Amino acid sequence: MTQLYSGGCACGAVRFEIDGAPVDMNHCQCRTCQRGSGTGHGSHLTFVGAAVTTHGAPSHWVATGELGTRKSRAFCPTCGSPVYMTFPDMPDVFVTFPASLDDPSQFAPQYVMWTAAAPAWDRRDTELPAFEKMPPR
Amino acid sequence: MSAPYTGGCACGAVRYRIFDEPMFQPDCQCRDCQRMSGTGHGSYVAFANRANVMIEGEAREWSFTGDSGNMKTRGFCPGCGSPLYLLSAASPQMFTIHAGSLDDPDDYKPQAVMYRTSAQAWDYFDPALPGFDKLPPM
Repeated sequence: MTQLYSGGCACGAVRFEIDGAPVDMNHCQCRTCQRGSGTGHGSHLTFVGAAVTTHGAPSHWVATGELGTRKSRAFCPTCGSPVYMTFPDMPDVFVTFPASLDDPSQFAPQYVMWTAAAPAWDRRDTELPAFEKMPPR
Repeated sequence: MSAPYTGGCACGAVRYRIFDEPMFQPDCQCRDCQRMSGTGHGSYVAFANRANVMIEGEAREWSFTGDSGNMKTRGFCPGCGSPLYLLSAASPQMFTIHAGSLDDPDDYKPQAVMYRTSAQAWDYFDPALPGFDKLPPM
């Protein structure tokens, strides 16, 4: 059974639809995710090889993660909402954020990573597996 | 004099220094804050007087009507998209920063959680914090 995911930014200028199932859903407490969210963690749904359609013209900011992976963060140039991430070195991968979804209840986090960078005030669900940095592959 | 609150965006284009003590430090679970953060809530440090804020670089601003009906303006970096600050038409002197933009995240000392009626089931926050269905009484 396929599931459809749709979402976009606060002002409606950037939208996306995904036909596929996420292979991974997490919270990440690394410093980059803190700056990107403005709070103590970021949250993500990762799709690999899904059929993705995007609309509008987001701005992109490319940064390189600790392990050398380039991440392109797409956000709306008008309202600033983060909408998705793509990876120049991994074109099949599409990541979005639970609150970017029209239905955020589709997000079901499986684990928390980068707890080593978490601020003390950022709470997490202690029933979720937690990893000090990345989960093992 | 205590050290100013400093911070900025991920790419370094916009930086702030605030020479003041915070007025209020809430998490907020409203849908607008969810969209700004991409996750279940935003975290904020509110200062009473914009005159105590020094900003280098230029944030882009976008105005919207919040869940409360008040007009808000958010500031974010046009280069990297990092959320930076919020202004409120109802309290024009107030200047509020996103806690994740602080150089030292430990500067944030959350006092309350607002708009719990809008919370996503998967969102987590400190259960010891006072919670408000919407805004706290002013």
